[in-house]
Amino acid sequence: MADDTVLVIGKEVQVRINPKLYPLESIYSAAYVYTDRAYIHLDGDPEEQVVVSLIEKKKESDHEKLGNLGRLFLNELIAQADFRVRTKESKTIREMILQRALFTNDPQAFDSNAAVDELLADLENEPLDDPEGIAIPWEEKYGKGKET
Amino acid sequence: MNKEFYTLEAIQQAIKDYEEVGLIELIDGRFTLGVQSKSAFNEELIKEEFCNYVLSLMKNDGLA
Repeated sequence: MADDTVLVIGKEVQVRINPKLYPLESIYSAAYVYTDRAYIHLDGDPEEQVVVSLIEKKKESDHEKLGNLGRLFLNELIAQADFRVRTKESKTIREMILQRALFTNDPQAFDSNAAVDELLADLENEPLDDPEGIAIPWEEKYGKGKET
Repeated sequence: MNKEFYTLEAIQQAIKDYEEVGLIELIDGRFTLGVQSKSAFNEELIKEEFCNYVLSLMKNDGLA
């Protein structure tokens, strides 16, 4: 991180963000989270460098507190960027859970059985991570004749 | 307000919502705003709150 990422100038702190590392949507989300603590202003170039200026609403802020505010904003930015990645990654599974829940409660919600069949086939074809062989039935693993 | 980050729709909506607090007008196409207080709040405070408000409108409208 460059030294001028968080810069205290007078009563405001400027946070300089590389938009190639953090998507603009995450910057907006982080800024929105801080609107109750600070007055936010967005400036710069969305392609090169985004400058977020924060002026703390508590007027007694000193240089150190403003610096901390800027660094906390960077932490929030990481949290928001991570949230976006996780949301994107879990999109399919969330949709499947929702569809299954809807189907359980109201099978008529689906217009055709094809959609349901496709969904169930997807679930069944998912590779199963089972190194201990727990999912293998007893009979298949030890044979029918043996007893415990 | 930087045109790259704020939308005209959100600014125009915020200007309407701020009518009772202050007279805010778009001076040019680069989203330069003129602020004149119509209440007990000073222009600087109105300007700062206005920027936050525009940001929240954009967030609520899914523009941000």
